[in-house]
Amino acid sequence: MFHVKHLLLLAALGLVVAACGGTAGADGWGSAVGRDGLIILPDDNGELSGITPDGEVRWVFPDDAVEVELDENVDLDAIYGTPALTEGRIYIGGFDDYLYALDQQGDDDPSLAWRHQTEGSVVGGAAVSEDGEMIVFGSSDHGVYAVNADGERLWRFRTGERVWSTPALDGERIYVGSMDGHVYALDSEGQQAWSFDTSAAIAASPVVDGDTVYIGSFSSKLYALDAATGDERWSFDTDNWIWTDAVVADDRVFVTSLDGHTYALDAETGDQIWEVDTGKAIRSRPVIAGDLLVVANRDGDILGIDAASGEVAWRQEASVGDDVLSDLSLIDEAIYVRNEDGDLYEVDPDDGAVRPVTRQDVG
Amino acid sequence: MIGFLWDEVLIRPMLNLLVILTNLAFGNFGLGLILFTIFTRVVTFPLTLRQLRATRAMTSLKPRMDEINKKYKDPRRRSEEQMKLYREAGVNPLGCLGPMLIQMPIFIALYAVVRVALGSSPESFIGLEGKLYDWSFIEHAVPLDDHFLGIDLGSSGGIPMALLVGAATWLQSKTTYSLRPGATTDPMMAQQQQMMQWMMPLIFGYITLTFPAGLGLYWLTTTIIGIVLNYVAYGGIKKVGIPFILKPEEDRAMPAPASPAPIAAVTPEVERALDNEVVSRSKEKRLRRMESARRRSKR
Repeated sequence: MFHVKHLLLLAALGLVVAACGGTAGADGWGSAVGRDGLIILPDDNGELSGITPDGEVRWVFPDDAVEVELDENVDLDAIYGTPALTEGRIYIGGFDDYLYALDQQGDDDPSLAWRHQTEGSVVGGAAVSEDGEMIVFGSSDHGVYAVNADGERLWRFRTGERVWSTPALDGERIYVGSMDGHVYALDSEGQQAWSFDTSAAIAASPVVDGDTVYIGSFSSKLYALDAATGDERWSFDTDNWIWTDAVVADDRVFVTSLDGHTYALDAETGDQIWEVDTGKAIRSRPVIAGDLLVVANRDGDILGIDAASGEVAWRQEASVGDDVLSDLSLIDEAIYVRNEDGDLYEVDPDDGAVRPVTRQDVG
Repeated sequence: MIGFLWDEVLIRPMLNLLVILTNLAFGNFGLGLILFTIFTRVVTFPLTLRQLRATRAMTSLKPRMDEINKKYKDPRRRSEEQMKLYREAGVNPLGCLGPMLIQMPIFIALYAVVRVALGSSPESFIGLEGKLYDWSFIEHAVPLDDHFLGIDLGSSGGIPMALLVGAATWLQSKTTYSLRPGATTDPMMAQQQQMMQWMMPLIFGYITLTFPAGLGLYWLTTTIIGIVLNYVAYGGIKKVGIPFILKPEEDRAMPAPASPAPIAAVTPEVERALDNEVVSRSKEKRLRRMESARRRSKR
């Protein structure tokens, strides 16, 4: 009698487990950048589009031409990093383990210049040296890669965990965070100059201002490090992970946290000047627009905060239809925010008015 | 409401416990999972003990059960007598199902926990953060080291893990059915046991192959513990001298009759005659009366 029940229980177990579905999906949260009047937007399907501010789609990558050229199905799966732009080039990391280099000018269709394969997803963005000859990026295979403009590997530096941070270059060194909890400073040959242990994973990207490197960590702290030595100058505690890059302006450092707060700190001392509670976790990097710091929290509430005083000038509640995890973008004096559905919205920095930039897909 | 309870009562505590155990296990999620399995086995041990006792008690009732099966052809009556016997012996026939029932939500919740804890996408990390308790040593523990003995616990277990899980499950079934005393003589039961012995390894092997290897590791560990318990409970007590799981006096407590009650010879004619009667008296009583009448007439 009980054996039949065992069988039924097992069948029920199988059904319930099967009903739970597969693994958590990757949609991507890459943010928009602008060039030549075109907005270059990663969407939630792992595609990159060139659209006009009116939402007209001029091109989409990958397209049939690239698949014919490579003779395979090209699918980036998801794009998390902000596309890096140089003269005639776009660099994007794909969740399919590749860094893609696209040749693209004006509103012409892009063509694939090359792609460089790693052994893990490329989550962060790429950093390009001033002369455009070295492109540095991280991979989930724990590596920091440097390739030349032809896509040939120059070196690879191995960290102890995934590298989701976008490297920062200051002309002399490369700074990057790793999920192993360390900030690494490398020279142009990929040799380690110093490392700093934050004791928790780092997914945010470093920001270099003068001789200081600012970086947030899952230790819930923002660190200011000496760019030359890696010594800690100060650190600032928040109440949750920091997954956004800091914004430095006018001797102030602005940082947001998954604790839902936006903090303004003295860049020299790390002393808090003001804080604003947005009420929900923040993963998006804010932008400075005029006198305002514009911030979006996960619920899609968008706030214009006076950068000097911390006064909230305006607030738009849940105005973009879905969760927001993408960084905010400032393109031609307009602010753009992408939600998790891949839809793009334009935000007027004067009053926070939100306008959907409808995607008008072609063919 | 159910979703909230599922999350707050099962998923979050389980996830955070796993993160703590992973911390204790030098940051290795695989070792953390093994510790977690041992922990759940310890917590559910009273149920396991009940199951072992129930199985053992039911085994000791087997001769009387065979007798009832032989004696009563009417299924309803047979079932009544079986239940009566269970009541007299103080055995809950559903006691065997306790550990199985408690394993189910753990297994399903663990699937959700492994997905959240070892998700490879940035979105899964955001989801993970929302489920961690606000304690710094937990929040700072991620990402968890998702590799154990070269196996990515967040990805499909692959054939080697599926084979291991299948083999361990088969061995557990084998020890369950063959180690315990009084293996069944009922051909139908034996057939069912045979089927279970092969079905369970196939099902869990398939689950391991399809779902994250972390689940496979949990099932492998809990199965190995089950095999050891089977050995200790059914096979190793006397040999190894480990009497603490099933005490000998518990066997004595089972109401096994000193001498089985004699069964009256029931010819087909008698059986037919009894079946035709619509009176509510039991066949047993009538048979006994007929038997005594027969003896009296002989004298």
